Amino acid sequence: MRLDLATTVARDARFSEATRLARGVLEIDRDELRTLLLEDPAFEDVTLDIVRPGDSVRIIHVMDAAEPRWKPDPGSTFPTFVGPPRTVGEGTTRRLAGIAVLTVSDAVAGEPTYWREAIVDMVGPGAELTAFGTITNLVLTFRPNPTYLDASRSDAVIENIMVGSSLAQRYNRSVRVAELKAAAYLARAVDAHEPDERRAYELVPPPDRLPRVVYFYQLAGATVYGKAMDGMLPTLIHPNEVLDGAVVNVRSNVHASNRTSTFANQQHGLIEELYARHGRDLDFRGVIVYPAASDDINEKELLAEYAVKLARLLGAEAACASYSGGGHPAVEFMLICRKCERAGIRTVLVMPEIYGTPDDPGFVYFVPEAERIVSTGRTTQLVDLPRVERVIGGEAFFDLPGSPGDAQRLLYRYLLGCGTSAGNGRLTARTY
Amino acid sequence: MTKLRVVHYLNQFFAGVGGEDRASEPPGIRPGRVGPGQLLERALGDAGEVVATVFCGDDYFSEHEEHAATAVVDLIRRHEPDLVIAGPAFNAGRYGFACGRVCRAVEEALNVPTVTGMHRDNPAVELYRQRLYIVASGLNAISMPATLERMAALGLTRARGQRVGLPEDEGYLARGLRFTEMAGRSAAGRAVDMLLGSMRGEAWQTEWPLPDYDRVPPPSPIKDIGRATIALVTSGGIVPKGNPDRIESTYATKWQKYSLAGVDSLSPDRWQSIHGGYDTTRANEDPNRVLPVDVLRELETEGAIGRLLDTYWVFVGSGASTTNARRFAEEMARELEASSVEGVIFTAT
Repeated sequence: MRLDLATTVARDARFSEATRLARGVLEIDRDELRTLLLEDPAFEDVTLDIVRPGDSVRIIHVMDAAEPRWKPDPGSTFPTFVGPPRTVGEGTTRRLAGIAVLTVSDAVAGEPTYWREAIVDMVGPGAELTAFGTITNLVLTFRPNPTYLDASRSDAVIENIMVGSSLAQRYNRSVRVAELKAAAYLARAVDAHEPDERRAYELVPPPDRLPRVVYFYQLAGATVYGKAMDGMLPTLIHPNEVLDGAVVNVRSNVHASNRTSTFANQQHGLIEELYARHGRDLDFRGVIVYPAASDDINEKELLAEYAVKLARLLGAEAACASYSGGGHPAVEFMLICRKCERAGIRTVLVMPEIYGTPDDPGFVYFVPEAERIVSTGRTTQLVDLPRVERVIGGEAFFDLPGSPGDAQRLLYRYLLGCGTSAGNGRLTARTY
Repeated sequence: MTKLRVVHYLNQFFAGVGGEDRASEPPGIRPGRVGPGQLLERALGDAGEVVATVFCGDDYFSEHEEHAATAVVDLIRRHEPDLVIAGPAFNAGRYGFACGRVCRAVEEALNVPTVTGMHRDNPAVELYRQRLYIVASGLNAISMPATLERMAALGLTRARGQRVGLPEDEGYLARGLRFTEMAGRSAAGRAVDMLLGSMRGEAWQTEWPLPDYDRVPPPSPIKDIGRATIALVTSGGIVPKGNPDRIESTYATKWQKYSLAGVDSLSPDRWQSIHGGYDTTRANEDPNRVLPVDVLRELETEGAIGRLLDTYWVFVGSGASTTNARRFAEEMARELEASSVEGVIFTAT
């Protein structure tokens, strides 16, 4: 399975009368793109903004982000969201780098907001924590159709605090479809250009015997080919599929720091790292995806057993495992570590420190076998963010006090993707 | 540059007052440096001078801890220090506790930075490591010069209000405080490095050490359950409707107790769950399913238990730090003991 990523780099973006690449600058036809996005009656309106690194801008109420990609026939761009349900991860994909599509919206009826706030800063310390502060972003701010704000509707009743009402789930999916349509639209516009860079992703069997490594990927709020993993047994996926748009984050009600956006899947830190060392230092055997948050201990055991069995079928001798955050997901995550170590598969765990004060050990649950942990930072620590000239996304935070444009002292938890266990970021925590 | 004023605390032995025979010596003071103070002053160099040495006998301190700490702080206060150095106490238990207590009292009462030194196995380490800077020493006075050098260096850093680095760099015993910072490399890169390193048999260092929780041995069974008083405790956040004491839904900092006198069953119009970590829909339909008052009352009537205590204790587990949780447990356990209950049913969610 060979994926060719043909990358064109946009060094800037601006609105213009046509969508095209002009001397390295992405020009966007705002009206045409708005019309495309407003095809979905879920939206009453959408506002488009371009923000750049160093702009005195704070974006709040961010739901997700994606990188522009276009995968012409016989491929499929973001299968089931934009393109037809076809396997991705092989053939050529056009990639437009240097820009992300960010989606923003107020909450709708029956949409819990406790974990929903997510902030992207284009200036100051927040901007250094993720890719979004270092590239140009096209921000899509959606205004929902009034039916989505009608709390008296029967489908506005909260099903549970994680996913909210069925109305809210539908709205979240609409926002993702719109985001991915915009991403496809932008990348398609550069299709005719000679790419700046081509990179092949293929797991060619190494000529020498190298440690066989698998990656256990715990998904929370993400779909695989549009399907939620909840209730499913772990399954195998080729790393190319993750990088090529098969894994889309559809839930916004996840701590922002731990939220692995669609963008972070397209440039998944651990997958990219394992790929970079494949054939040289290790033999990358594949990715095992599994759902987070079953709340039954027998299901957790079964899930962990099944995931480790898949690793054994792949001949794994070593594994990386990432933790999506949350209480229940910690248990199956740690059980996988235990069962791997007992099966002779050495594991490294990548996880954010989501609970507690500085003096708290911070674990929801752990097993003594968890001897190798990489921390993506204690996200309950405060970080100081500067006052900004402009706020995109709303007049007020969901649950935080104060005016969003003012200087803020808030938890890392609110900064989109800064502690994702996909390993993209540089945050860590140390014991003092 | 003016030299920083340093006060040195020693026990009777290192202050040259005498050995075990003088361990009952009450707090006293000498001008300038005494004994190991010479090494301390050398380590401070031009940056500081030892303006006074305060001492106390180890037995005296352990037998009159509150009084001794107050007296020592009063002696130290007169010299308006910028820094207080205590010990090092090496592996001496009583001396270690005295150094820890003095440093804590000085930091709290005078708001002056302190540094002490102890061997990692000194029993005082567990009590004080989280709130004090304790430089790791050897087992005995052979390590005195090296220990005092590190204590002086760390003391100067603290007295100047500079940022204290990692324990392995500065030589103090880790306080167990986790702080977020930026690493030189992505988490993914660090993870694969760690994995491959350990596959090659190289030493690796976890970025997040596992905690070492104490184990609680289960008590012996209740002899006569039919006569026993049973209490209910829950982490499930069941409170009187309206949450009158504003218990936090997550990251709780407090617990509460409420009366069950005359309550046969928890009705949803008078009780609710304010827990922020689970879906409370069902709990709010029937609060008894988290705090089983209805069933306990039945068991009381049947004589299966002696009686249900008319008070229950409640907190919220979601995200509560273990430090707070430990405090909740200690405070609630004291009250439960005072209520002479023989058994507790603890319901979690």
